[in-house]
Amino acid sequence: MSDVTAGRSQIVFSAAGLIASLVLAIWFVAPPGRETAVGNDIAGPLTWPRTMLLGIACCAAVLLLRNTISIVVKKRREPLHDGGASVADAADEFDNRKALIGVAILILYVGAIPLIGFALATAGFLVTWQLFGGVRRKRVVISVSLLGTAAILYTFVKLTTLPLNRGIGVFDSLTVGLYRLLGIY
Amino acid sequence: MDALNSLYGGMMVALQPLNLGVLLLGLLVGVVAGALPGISFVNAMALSLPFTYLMSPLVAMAFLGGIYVGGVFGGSICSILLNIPGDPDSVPSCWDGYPLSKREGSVYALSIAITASAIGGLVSALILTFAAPPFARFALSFDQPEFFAATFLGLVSVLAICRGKLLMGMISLFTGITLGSVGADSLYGVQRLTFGLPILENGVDFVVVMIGIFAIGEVLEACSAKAEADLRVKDSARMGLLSLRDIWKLRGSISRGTGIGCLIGAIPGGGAAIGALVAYGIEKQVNKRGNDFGTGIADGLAAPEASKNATTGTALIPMLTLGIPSSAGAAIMLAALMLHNVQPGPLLFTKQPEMLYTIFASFLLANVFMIVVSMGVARVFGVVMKTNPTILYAFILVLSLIGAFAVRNNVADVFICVGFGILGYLMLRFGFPTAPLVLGVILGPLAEGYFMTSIANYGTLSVFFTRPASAVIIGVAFLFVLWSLVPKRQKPPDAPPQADVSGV
Repeated sequence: MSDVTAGRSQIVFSAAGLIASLVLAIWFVAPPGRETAVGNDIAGPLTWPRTMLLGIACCAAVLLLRNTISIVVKKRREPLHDGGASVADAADEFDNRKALIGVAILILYVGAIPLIGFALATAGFLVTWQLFGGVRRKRVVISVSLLGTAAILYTFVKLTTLPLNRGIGVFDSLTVGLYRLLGIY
Repeated sequence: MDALNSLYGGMMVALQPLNLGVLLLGLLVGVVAGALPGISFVNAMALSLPFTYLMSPLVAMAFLGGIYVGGVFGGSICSILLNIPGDPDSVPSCWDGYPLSKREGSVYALSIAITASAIGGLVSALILTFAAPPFARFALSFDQPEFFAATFLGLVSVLAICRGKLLMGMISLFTGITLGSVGADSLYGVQRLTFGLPILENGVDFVVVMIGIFAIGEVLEACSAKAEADLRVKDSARMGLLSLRDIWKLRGSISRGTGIGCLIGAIPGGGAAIGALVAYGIEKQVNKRGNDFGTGIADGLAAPEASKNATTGTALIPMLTLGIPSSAGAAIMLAALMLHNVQPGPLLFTKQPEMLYTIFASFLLANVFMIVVSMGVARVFGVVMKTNPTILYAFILVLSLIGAFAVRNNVADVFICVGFGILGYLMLRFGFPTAPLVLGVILGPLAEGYFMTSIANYGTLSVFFTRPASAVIIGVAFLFVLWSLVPKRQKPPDAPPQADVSGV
């Protein structure tokens, strides 16, 4: 990604931030009917979040202006977007596909917890993540997943009595059976 | 003389096998909880509170005090070895601790951390023992405007650290403060920025944000990096105390950090996070090598380390003398005392001085034994670090999500945590500093609460400038802001590039 493209990305983000913060500040800070909630003459319950959103809007506007001027005059700044590492450099160091897969695995894991329970979801996540990360030895994958899940359950459910989700229906029964097997229940 | 005699008596009680054993157990729990990313020492204290029902008030305070002292330091282990802060107060430790450990080895970095922490903690415990009454009178003069000024100082300290990335730092900070205002406001009960979603009505907890941004975001970034991460610790993560010569070299940063931490710890509204942040910001400005902070400068690690442990002892002063906890850890200890029908306040010093001085002695012992316990935990941590990074990251993610769930026993927090993890990853990718956002979520609600209560009580904005203590603290805060606006000095062509301090 060239510096100009990186700068354009910054312009897009700055513009989006400016618009989003203004929209939130004006229309979405309070529920319908409470938009003008006022506590006293100086400040009310909406003062603080509105002030912060306007702060975001001001900073985004300045950033937008700076980057736009830089693009327009085609001046090579170092870096283009207010200091720090260049976005252009960052793009070469990261694999977007891996990132997306990692995020997807995480979302599936968290989504599965309420359905199949923490124990089963965690065991499945540990297997999947290890395979995603390149661990191929079956013995390692299985032992880490099973022993790791058991250790976590024993520590948090038994010792600290944290009510981790057990899932619904048959998965609830399976989880309870597993807890009995581990001596947790 | 009376105080010394009382302390001697307290020490004899604190050294009894049961009391000492419980203290050591608390230290171990605290250091481990602090070291694990996703589980903070506050979680550990909260989870341990029910167990204290079975203990006497003295033993309960020794146990929770051990967790508190150990936990405040414990977060540094993870910060220094993994660049993932174990707690909010360990965020500044990442900035110089991690690069220092990569360059000079983990032994040196961890040794700086433990030495500075021990010194800060011991001084704080001594101040707690001998200066509680005069400090109580000083704290009594503080009201909501002073509390607001202290949190305002913490907020702008973040900006001082973002020099060179000020605009993006401010966007991040304002975003964090805005996120902290989601949910019902504390004074009027009006729902803000909830969009009618029940999941947001209880607000966004800062622990959930911290775990998401720092732990999950960092793991996602590390996993997507094309270069394989080398998490192995070269020298088994051993640590020891620094030599006297090394301590002498760091005397300035350690003493400044200790002083700042002791002061901020005693202020209601202060706490280890603010203490560490302010100490780092001040050290960056006064230190000769301030411009190099973020590249692994020993002073940049020593100052926040000394400061955050220095808050632990003095945090108990307003709690014990006034019943006002100045930190989350102190609040849990207050809860434990009240569970045992012990009412903190001035009368406690006359009715139960033996118990008080035993608590003081326990704190002194905790800061001494913390050294030994931390050495052991760090060594085990170093062994753990030899694990395949993929497996390590998997457990970090699982523990992080458990930590998010444990905040309110609500699976919705887990979803929010993952959302912030993705946000944290995107911020890291596009160069937005993440620390200001997290610190905004932590300090923003506090600042708003104190601000709104001040306005409600005094009816004018000028109260923040007419009350002397508040005016002084806000004046210091504005100096920070002005300093942030000063452009960085141009470095000579052959000097190494300045590191991005705020890129946590």
